[in-house]
Amino acid sequence: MLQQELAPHVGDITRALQGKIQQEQVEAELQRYLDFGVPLAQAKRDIVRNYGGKLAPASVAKKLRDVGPHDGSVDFVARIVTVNPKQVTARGEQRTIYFGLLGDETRVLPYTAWRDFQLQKGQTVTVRSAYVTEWRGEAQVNLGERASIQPAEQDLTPDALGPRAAQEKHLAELRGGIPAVTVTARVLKVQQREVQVDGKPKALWSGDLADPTGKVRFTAWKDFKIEEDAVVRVQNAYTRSWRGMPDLNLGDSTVVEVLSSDALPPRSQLQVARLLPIGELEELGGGADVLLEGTVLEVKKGSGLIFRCPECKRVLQKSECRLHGKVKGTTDLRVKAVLDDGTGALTIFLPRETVENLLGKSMEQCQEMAKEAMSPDVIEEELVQRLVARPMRVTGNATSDDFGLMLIASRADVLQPQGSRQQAEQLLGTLEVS
Amino acid sequence: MAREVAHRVFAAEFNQANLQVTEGGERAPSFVVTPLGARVNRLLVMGVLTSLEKTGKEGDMWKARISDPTGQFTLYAGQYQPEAAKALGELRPPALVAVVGKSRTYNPEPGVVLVSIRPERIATVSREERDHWTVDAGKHTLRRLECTAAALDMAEPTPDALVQMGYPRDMAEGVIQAIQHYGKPELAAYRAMVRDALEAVVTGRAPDRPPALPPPARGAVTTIRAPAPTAPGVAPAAPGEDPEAAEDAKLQAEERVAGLVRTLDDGKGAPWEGIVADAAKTGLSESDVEEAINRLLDKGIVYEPVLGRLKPT
Repeated sequence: MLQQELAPHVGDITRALQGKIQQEQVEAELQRYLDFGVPLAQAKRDIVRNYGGKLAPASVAKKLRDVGPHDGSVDFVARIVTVNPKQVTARGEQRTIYFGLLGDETRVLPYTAWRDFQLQKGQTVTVRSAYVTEWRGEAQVNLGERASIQPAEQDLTPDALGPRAAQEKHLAELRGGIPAVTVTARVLKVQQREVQVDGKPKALWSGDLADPTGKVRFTAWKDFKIEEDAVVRVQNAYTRSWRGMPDLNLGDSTVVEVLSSDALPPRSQLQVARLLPIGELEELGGGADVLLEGTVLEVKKGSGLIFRCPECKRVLQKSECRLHGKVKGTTDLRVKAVLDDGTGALTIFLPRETVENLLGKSMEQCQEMAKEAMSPDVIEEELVQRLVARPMRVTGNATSDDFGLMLIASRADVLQPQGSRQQAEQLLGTLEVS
Repeated sequence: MAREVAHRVFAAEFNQANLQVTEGGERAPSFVVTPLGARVNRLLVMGVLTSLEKTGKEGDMWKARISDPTGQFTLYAGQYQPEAAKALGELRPPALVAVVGKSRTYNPEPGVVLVSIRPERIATVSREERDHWTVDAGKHTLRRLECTAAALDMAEPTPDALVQMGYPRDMAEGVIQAIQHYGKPELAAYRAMVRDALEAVVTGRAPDRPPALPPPARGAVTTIRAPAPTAPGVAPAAPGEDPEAAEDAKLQAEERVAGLVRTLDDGKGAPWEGIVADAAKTGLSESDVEEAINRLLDKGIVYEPVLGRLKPT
């Protein structure tokens, strides 16, 4: 057996012995066992046992079709289809993990690499000692501390890869990172754009899709001849996450079929946003054009009249920009608040026009008031008075980042709760029945 | 990191709670779990402010009572809740108010458990807004009742099984914890409580009798420290990361240290070493104490007349 082929097994033994003996010594020892004709698995077990260690369960070579959540340790050869880095905080430490898809001729599966294996997109690798978990009903390959990865002898071409089972979903159920999904939706908008890929211009198509449950942005990496207003069945697309908002991607393996236009309600009905509990939005991580209703629990500092950096639009602190230092700020009016509906909470940002509507005053009038009071705080105080503890309905795009879930409102209304009595009566009715 | 949601819970249900759960490390958020499984770290209540008094050894603490159609919430606000204390100072009962706050449990004497609210924000509200809250609290309570009933129908209820039925994860975990701790709740009595509250909205009059719930459970607060549940495929959240919980822990440390400064002050000020030694008995490290003192100095709650001695202002 070649030294190169032996390397992962030497690694297994060294790890099992936690550095009690040097790698070179392990290598020599293992070679000696093999020279005596001892089978590899037995040799490994016995060497470890001789030094008082315990070998992890023997890894089994499998095809991806055959792996399942019960597999504690599997070996396979696969092509790395995608690699995405992701920042996570674990035990107070920032670190980078990698996730994506890998596949062999039987199946393509999502994976998570818990440390940096220097995975390259398009590379074919021999994976040893991976483990498999289940995540949202699908097997997920994990490359953990015990895993080892070597370049494979033979490359798997993209065409040779097996299928991945696409799940049929409503748009409201989409979240980032679904490897294969099928949706039926009406095209609300589509436009062609040009982007630079590896220094070369490449055409792509993007826009909005809607079904009765919600809306989603899409990006098509080739021309699927998608037309505005058409009802399409998009098979085998995948989703990416942009700050928690799903983006439906139509790639090489995607198939688009045009359905009859009456397969879904007309555009006018699909554009009505659906009221979403905030708790559900938290689980989704974000969404395009969502409608939320809750109570304003807090109007945060930095609401009311503020100054922004003319360069980067960041909010100034003591007339200083975090990036550009001391600058002459431009005035703006906004609200940063917490909206909570009892199922979840998020930060909402209301831009100038929305705040002007809520106050019934223009920004100029606010500036006048601030000048008279000799403090911009009067506007913030008025906003606190008007908004805290009031029920509010907002529409906008919700995204999430390290600071949690947030929504930039395209519309916000303080609700005048009048129907409470009727609602109470209605609920009482259902109580009598049960 | 997600902000803790503000639960809508009626006073009668909240006051029955005597289970406290902390999931994760020292500074993980803690929840008061009600008999119907609301895991309350933060809550939003609206009702009538019926009484307001100064209390505490120094008379620097507000104690307030807020009535909803089912019972009364108790609030304590001191110098550590400046906004809420200021708002209370400007109110005269009776007044319709909204309170956002954190849940607290007290063991004033062995065998007695009291739950209260430490307010973060207080605002006055209209009758319509209060009614809106009452209906909202009714809806949330009915949903928990439904989830509890579903759990009781199962031979071996688990959070996962409830999640599969469409209940939110947090509610499912709470309901299972509640059943394990309190046993089978009197569903009919809670349903009657919701009915009375909703009738109060319809008629505009408070119910003429308190809800017939079993008497508040007596006994010590049961605190469970459970490992935080983690979702597969997601790196486990490290304990001690939650900024809200960290802030809670800091406030508690400040309150304890401020108390020690008062008790150890012999006129010349409380000696630093004495504070550290006594604080250690309550589980605070020297660096915790140092941080708490610095924050108390910043807030002007204590001052240092001579180096190494602290006095309350």
